[in-house]
Amino acid sequence: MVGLVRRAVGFDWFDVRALEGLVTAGLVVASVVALMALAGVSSIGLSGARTGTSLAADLDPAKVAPELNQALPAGVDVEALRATVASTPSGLFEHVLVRLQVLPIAVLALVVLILMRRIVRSVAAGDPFVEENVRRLRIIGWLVALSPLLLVIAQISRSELVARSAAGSLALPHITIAFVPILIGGLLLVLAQVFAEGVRLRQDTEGLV
Amino acid sequence: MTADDGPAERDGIVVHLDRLLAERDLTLTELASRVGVTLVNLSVLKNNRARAIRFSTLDALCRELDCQPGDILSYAEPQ
Repeated sequence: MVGLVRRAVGFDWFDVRALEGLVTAGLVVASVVALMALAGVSSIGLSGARTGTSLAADLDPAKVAPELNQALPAGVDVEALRATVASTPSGLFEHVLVRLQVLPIAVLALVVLILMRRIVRSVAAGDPFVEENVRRLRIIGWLVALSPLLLVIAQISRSELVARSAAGSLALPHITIAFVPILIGGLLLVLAQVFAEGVRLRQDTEGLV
Repeated sequence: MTADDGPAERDGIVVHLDRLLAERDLTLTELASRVGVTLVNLSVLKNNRARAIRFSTLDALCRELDCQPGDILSYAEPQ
């Protein structure tokens, strides 16, 4: 029965295996990132990782070098100076702040990837239109839609750490809210509803002779 | 729902495949291969556990059993 459905749909067995491999690889990477975040790594990039003793901060040019913008042509303005600030987090609160920069998002990514892998596994098993997948898609949708909140928390944590450091008075207050994740989360919730309809259709063909 | 759960009691449409098989001295396996339906599905049908039947299946059954749909199916008033 499963074989018939797969052949009818033009299903390539390799596609699902590749997808499962990709999601598992993502899961491994997310786990490593989460562990690093727990250890106090505050950002990870191609040039290396920052630990809690080093912060990325945007400084206000007006406070650092007021003459800078005067030296530039008209219509050209330096808005922020990206700096590295050495900081020594002390006390429980500051150590928590260090981890709030990456850990919440890393854990969210981990949860989403775990749910994704379960969905892909149900596809590999040949029976994806089940109630559990509707529930999984809904959870992922809400998590993704609310992730900008975690990003804001991360930014506030970093600002607070910078405020407590040597660069405190020079920093530029700056919060960015990402809207795309809200849109994508909404899309996933819509897809969850489509899936629910798929479950109903599948139930209709169960016991069809 | 599996084919090995045995006959089920059912209100509404009732399937009389077992009677027809006995009358024509046919096995379920034989009929399944002639009709082009899996043995599992034909067993589900025989045991009144099917929830829906395709016309194509009904066509093939009438052809192989040389009978009318009313010989295979009957309607029992729900209690």
